[in-house]
Amino acid sequence: MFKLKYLILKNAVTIPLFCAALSTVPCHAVENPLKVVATQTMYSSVVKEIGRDKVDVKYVAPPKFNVHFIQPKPTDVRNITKADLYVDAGLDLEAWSDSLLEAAGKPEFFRGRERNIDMSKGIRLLEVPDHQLSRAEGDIHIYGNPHYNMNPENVKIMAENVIEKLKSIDPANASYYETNEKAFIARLDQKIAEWKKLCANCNGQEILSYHKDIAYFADFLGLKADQYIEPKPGIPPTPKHLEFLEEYVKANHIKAIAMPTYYPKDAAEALAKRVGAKVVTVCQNVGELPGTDDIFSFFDYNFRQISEALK
Amino acid sequence: MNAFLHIMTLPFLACLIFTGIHAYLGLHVIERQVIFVDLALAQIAAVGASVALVFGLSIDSPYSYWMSLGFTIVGAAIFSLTRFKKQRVPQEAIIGIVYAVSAALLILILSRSGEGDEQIRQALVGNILLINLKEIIKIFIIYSIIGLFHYAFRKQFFLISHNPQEAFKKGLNVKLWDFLFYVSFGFVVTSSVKIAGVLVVFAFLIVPSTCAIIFSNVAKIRLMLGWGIGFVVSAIGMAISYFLDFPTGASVVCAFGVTLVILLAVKKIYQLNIIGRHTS
Repeated sequence: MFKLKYLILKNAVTIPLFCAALSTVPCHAVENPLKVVATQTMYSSVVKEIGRDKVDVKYVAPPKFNVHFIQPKPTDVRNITKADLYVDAGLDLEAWSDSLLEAAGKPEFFRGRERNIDMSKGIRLLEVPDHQLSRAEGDIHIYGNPHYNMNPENVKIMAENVIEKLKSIDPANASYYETNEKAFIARLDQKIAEWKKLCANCNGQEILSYHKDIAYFADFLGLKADQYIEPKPGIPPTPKHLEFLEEYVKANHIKAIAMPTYYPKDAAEALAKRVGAKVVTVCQNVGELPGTDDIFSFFDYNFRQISEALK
Repeated sequence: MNAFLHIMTLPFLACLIFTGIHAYLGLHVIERQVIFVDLALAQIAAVGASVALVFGLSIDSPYSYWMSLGFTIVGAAIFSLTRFKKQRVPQEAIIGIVYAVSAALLILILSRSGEGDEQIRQALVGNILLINLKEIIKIFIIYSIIGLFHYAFRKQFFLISHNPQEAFKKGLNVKLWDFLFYVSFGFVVTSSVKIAGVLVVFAFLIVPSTCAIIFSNVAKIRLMLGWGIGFVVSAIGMAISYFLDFPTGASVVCAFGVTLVILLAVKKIYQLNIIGRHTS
């Protein structure tokens, strides 16, 4: 400990000198492997599928935590400082992202800039407010629902966003990336067909969700899911709302309540018990549970869970 | 090492600025025995920001800031009006009540606003690691002005904190000076909490001043000790956070806790007192 103290005190003197030197460091050229930082594991997985050996991918938000409330650590700042490319969700999901980029001193990673991949590009957004925005009416996300990870069809669009950028900043490996992307999309298409078949029983049914993060998942499966236990993020349900939900679940014969791992389960479980429904864990990100470590096993898990519960 | 400096320099500077004003204000807070007043004021400020949200004003807008500040001033008025010559209820009770009610009020307001819970929560948690140069300059200016204000009126401020009975006797307008104290205090705390969160601000406020009061009873020496401790602990906290990869704010708070334990042990073993065997 004493050594550390000494180290810091000594360096307090060199800080001003260092700051001066820092401002003259030139922007480095692209070298392999390309260093990529993604905000979420879903995005880092897509990049890895396409970049394979030519990319070194890291992510900021650990998948077991709620992506709304991430507290970046020094490693995250360091990874971003060293990175060549930054991948984020776009929209307004990752409120911590901008200050993280500022702390790392990487203006080229901001949205719309040359070294940023905005995964939401080209995605058909759901729940986009269609009226003059009024916060009092409960428009949580002003650009639309940002949880588009949940639909495997959207992964194809994300892959497109990734390959486009990889080819433009690393043209030497363009054909390598293309081959990987083709293989990835082919496998995805085959799996999508499988998942659709597995979940054929879900089509037309209705589920309840804990948080407003299920829309794309429901869209893919043909589920109806527009009632939430948590009426607003972070606000516990009122007695009236619970009463309403109980009636609603009974009247509509709802069999399942979906929620990710990081919200408290008690409200959902209490309700499920009273009405004889099942609480289903639907992951929000790759790696949130053991055995969901890549994109395919992630969707496998979610779709198996929901089709099982709705039998 | 370069990466360490690159990442930790700004947070460290922020810690130094924090130490400067909080170690001083902490001395007052402890003498007044209003330990949790900063939590209460931060909570009131958050209510202000949430009211702004309900009116459709973004949390980053200056209106939101002024609204927070307005609520903080109301809080300052409450705290200065609840200090009497004969204190029947300890002020901590009032502070606790203000804290609990404003935290609950925040939940009520946000349940109607439907948005902003994330940002409000963020405003109470903060992340000192991600502070930028603009914010550093801003707090440096604000805290310097408040520091100078307190320096100019140090006699009054120290008298009402240290010996209010004497102040009443001297015919000082204790309520007014109390109010000025809490307004300036609220100004500092609201800005700091937004950057670093309630835990970190509490630690900077209470730990250096507690250590200093244990060792000395002279205001000037206490202040020097508080600043020294704040400086060293901030540096240690930065190193822990960086080299062990822990969240920065929490590292600093824990470093403060450990430091206090070590200093208490040192005091116990050596019976150390820096100036002043005769207590005042």
